[in-house]
Amino acid sequence: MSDERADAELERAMQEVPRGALALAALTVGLLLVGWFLIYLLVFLPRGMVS
Amino acid sequence: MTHARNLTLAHLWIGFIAFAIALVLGVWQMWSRSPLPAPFLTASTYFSSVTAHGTAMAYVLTTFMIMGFGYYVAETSLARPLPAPRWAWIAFWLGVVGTVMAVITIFSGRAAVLFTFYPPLVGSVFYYLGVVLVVAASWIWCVLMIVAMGQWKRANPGRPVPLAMFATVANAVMWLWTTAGVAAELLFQVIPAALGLKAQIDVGLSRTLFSWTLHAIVYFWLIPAYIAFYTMVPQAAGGRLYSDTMGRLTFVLFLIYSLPVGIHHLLMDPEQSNAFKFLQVALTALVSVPTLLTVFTIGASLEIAGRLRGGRGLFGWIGALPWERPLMLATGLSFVMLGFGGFGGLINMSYGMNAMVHNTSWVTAHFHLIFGGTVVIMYFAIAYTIWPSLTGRAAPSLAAQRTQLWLWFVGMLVMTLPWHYLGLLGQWRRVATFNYADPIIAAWGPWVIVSLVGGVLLLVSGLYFVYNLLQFAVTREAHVPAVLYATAVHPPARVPAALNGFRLWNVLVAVLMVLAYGYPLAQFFVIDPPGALVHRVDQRR
Amino acid sequence: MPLAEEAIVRSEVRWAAVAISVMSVIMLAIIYAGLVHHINPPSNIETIDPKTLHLSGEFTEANLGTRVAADGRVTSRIVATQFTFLPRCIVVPASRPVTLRFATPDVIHGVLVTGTNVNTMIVPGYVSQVHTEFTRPGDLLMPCHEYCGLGHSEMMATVRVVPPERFKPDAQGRVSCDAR
Repeated sequence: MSDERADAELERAMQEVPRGALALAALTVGLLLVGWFLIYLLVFLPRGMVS
Repeated sequence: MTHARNLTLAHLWIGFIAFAIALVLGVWQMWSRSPLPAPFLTASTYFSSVTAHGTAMAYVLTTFMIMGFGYYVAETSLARPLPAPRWAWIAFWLGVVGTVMAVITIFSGRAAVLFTFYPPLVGSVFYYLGVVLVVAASWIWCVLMIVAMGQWKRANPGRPVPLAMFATVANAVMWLWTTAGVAAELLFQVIPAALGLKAQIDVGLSRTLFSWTLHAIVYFWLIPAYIAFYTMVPQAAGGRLYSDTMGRLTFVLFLIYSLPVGIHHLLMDPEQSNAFKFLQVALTALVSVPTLLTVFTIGASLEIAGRLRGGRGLFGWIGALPWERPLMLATGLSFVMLGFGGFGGLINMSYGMNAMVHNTSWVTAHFHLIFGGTVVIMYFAIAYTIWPSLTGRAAPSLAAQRTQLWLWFVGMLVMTLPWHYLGLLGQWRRVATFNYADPIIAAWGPWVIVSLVGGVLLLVSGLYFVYNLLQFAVTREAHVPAVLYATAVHPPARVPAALNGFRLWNVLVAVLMVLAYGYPLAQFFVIDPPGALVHRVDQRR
Repeated sequence: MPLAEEAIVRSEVRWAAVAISVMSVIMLAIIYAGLVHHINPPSNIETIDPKTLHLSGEFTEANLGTRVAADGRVTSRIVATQFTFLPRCIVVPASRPVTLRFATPDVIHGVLVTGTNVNTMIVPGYVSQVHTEFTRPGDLLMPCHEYCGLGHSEMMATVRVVPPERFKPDAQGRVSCDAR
């Protein structure tokens, strides 16, 4: 494939990038945060004070 | 490749043989702890097995894999022969001798101290010397990596060091910094005690010194997987690396922030204050950032590949990726396990929350998932990827490789997810047998068995991995050389010196370590706590 | 010209801001739990000589177990040793502040109490101290959770949480587990 064609292909592909990666990463980190808070609120805090 | 071929093969084989043996031990250990009766089970055999399993997985598999892969990267990414190959072979044999010494000592029942040592329990000096030799071998490797990069830079003034080598040397520098902790503990405390030169040990000091090493060591293990993510996976996927600069920054962030956080392994310890525990928890929050960056950068790199292959929409590019390629598949599976393992790690590091999980099966679940899962699956994939160029043969069956990788993934989840739950119920660690007559413990039994099934799947997968490598010797098809390393979207013509070398970062590491570990270590010399008597585990009673 | 490097770096910086915000939220929740709910790691830094603790002072055998002081404070003292706890069972009241104090004459041990946030290492040379309040009556497991040698698997104690009205100290302020 010639360099110009490769560049044109890349440019077309990168119109959307990084929207998909952002969506995936945000979804993953969002789930992590939700999971962390579920444990925090449902398991950790109810187990009581300790110091 | 001039010298790397034989070096890499030799190192990786030692690592994988140790790995296979450790897998068998691991399954037997899980059997012992389950309600099902296990053969050969005594406290002595169990804890010797745990020591062997931990030593093989945490010190032998890892160090040999990292050294071997490093030599490969040095020659292929820099396109130069390795400097001083004789020293590389000296290091290899040093490591082998150390491994054999440690293993013989463990199997003779004279070192049931676990791979974390736990002074004032003290075993035979030959166990510790064995570990010291493996570490010394790795130090020689570190120097060779630094020298190789230095030579390339002098021959290519002003040019950016190829990312794979930059990351490898970042790892080497980090390893030199982090082994200082365990080296000090062994040289000044444990080995003198093992030789009978000291009758007491300051346990608070030894635990704190070990903690210095304990976190960055896992990044030492992890970075080769990240090297594959940044420099090999985008190429295998048919795309480009989204940003070479962010890649460099990620490895620099690991170097800086993986070191001053070890006290998060001591959150339940009485010898360190809340102030320093909290400081290191805050720094631990920072070390999660390079991983979060990686999820995005590699995601974007794969998105490029997926869209080049016709994938559309917000997530359609994922399906369009070449999942039939083992390196691509391993990456996807690795990222899923990174999600679960990262979640466990976030809970562990959350200061007071550590009390819910410390020394329970949750911790065992976390590190098996994040290391045994996320990292080791990439070790498999790296081996599959470079084996053709090492052996000159084409891969006999990609389907076999994919099946093995899937089996590892499924086995790892089946083994570790129940452990998380059992940990929250209070199941504790380092136990040879549980009293299943107790009603609280009896309820755990079924989950322990589920976990055991996962372990068996892992054993099958691990043996299948070794089989797949051996098959390369039998196949006839010759390897067709292909481009290994990815190209960035915008390959940099120049990079700032800070992203091409480590002088600045070494200064920053020194500052952070003084800040985070200065007083926590110095306090032992100020308050001078009473020592604990040495308890030998290697004497015949 | 595919997406310019400046735009790439900008997107990475934006994502880094998201990542740092997420970690900050977690850190704030941790600080909240520490300051408002009083859940902190046990960090006592109090030294004691493991070689002599059984001879005199707080951790002599006669002084172990649960004791109510003149001012009403409930303290339970436990020695962890290869491979048992002394005493093997302690009684504590529910819904009252309790202080647990641990020491060891030999090697590293550690305890957790099932279903609670009570968790601490027990390190020779140090007294481990945990303040807590037990919420529900019942028998809880307190195993040794750190490898301490070949007998580690058998090392276990019981924490018997009794309703406050059934927590009756004797003349010396002591409460111990009956053989029930």
